[in-house]
Amino acid sequence: MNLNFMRSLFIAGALVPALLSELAGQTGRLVSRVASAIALLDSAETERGVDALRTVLAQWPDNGPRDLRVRAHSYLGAAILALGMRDSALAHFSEAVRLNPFAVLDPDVFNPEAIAAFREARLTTPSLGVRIAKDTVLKPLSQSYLVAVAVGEPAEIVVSLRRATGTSLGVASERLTVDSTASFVMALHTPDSIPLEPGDYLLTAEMLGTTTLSVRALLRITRQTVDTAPHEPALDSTLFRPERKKGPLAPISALSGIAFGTAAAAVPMVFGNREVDGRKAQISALSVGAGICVAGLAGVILGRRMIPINENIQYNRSLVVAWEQRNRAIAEANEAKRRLAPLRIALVEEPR
Amino acid sequence: VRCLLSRFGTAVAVLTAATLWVARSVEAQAVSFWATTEAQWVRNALILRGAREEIAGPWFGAAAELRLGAVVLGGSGSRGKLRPASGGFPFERTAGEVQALLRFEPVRWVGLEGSYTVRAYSSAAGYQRWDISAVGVVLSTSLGHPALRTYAKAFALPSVYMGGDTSGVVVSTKGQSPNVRFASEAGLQVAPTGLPLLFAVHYRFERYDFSGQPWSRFEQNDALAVSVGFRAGR
Repeated sequence: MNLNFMRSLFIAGALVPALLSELAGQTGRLVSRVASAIALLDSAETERGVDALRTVLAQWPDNGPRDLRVRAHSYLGAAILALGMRDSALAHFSEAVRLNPFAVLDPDVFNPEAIAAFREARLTTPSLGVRIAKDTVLKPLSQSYLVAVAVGEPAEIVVSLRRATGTSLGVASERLTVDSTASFVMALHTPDSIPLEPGDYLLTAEMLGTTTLSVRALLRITRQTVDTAPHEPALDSTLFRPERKKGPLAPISALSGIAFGTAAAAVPMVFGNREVDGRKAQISALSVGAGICVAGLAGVILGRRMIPINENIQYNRSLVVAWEQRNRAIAEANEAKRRLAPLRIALVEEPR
Repeated sequence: VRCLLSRFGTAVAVLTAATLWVARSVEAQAVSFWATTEAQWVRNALILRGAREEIAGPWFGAAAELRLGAVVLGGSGSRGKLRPASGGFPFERTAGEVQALLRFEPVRWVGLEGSYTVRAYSSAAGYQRWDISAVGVVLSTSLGHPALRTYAKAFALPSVYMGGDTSGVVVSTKGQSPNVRFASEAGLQVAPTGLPLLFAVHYRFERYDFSGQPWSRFEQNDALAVSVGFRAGR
């Protein structure tokens, strides 16, 4: 399986440059042939030029350059019009408009008769085209996205922008009547001034009254990174004041220690049989009793309760609250910066 | 243990059942445990038929307590030698004891404790065994710091049975019970904050008078013990 995969990679690696090279060569040949045909027209060899252009267009590959094809149809239509074949000329002009609704004839190149015929052909050719920037960066609240629309025959167009995935409603929609070309701007925020979220969006232009003419382009909106302020570091422990202090001595511990120690020492004295015991038991009892007494005395100091210092607690709390407020303000400012960050709008799929 | 079960099997079963019932009935909010090893210096003084004898020696053992809410279950065991310290008793004794206790402490400073102790002495002169049932009051308090705690216990001994098998040279004991019987214990516990350790020292005192018997016998035991061990829980 790995061998097959490697073989496929090798074949693909070899084929792709070859295909690109072939495509470039094919485009170059088309450019050359169209230029030669136009040169024939310019040198008053109209018939030869028309034949050459017809031949080129008849052999035009599906993946051939569209603008060059429009140019060829435009020149061919103008030449044929000069030869008196008006209907045939209008058909070529219509094809040019169908291929590119934004196409126009340059008045410095073509005569007024050809330009008028082109306009006539445009008015009878249903076509729709959209032009947008391939890659642009805009501020979502202060700048808008420029969209140009072109039609053949005048029509009412609805242009909308909506998320490519999900079921969310359209975020922007524009309805306009277009005679030939029109441009307008689309807001990059919702009506309540919330910038568009990053993601893939579909820009759709639909010609009302027909179901076949619509153009869609896929846009990818990404949010540009912005400089955000860092949060404040944690408060240094030296800033805090002590919240507790040692309370007064605990004499009750001494009393307890003495009471229990005395009891321990006194039991053999009080309840013991001195004849049996010979007072030896009292030494052990006294040792333990004394130990308990000493522990009780130690407890006087060790057992001092810690007393809360309310002023310091309030002060420390105010420090923390102020620190939290500052960080919250920074977080809000950062969020606002992020929300208002410029949006990059890149064309992922050309309008088609 | 076999001997204990054979003689007090029913009592042990009832005690165990009662313990489990009490343990289940209390809310085990404060569960703690400690286990220590113990070294004691034990002294036994005796006047028998007018002759005074005294023996003493070190005992070593272990003790443990489990606190379940207000109920404390505990046990200990130790063993050691007792050598003649004064008087005319010529024999060295090997001795040991085991004890089981149940304590109920509704509040931390006072409690009721019951215990059962079996103590045995063995020497060239014979074998002697004591069965001691104790019921008493425990008072305890913290000495200022939570790491320091002292306690005192006073016991009435409702049932003390002394019996054994002797050569008859020293004493004939065929199951006697003393007329005066009393025991007490006082101690100090140090539980360092942040460490799972427990240090303790305590003093135990017991008195038994067999004055109403055909022969008179007055006996006292006392022990000074130090222990160190592990503790867990509150």
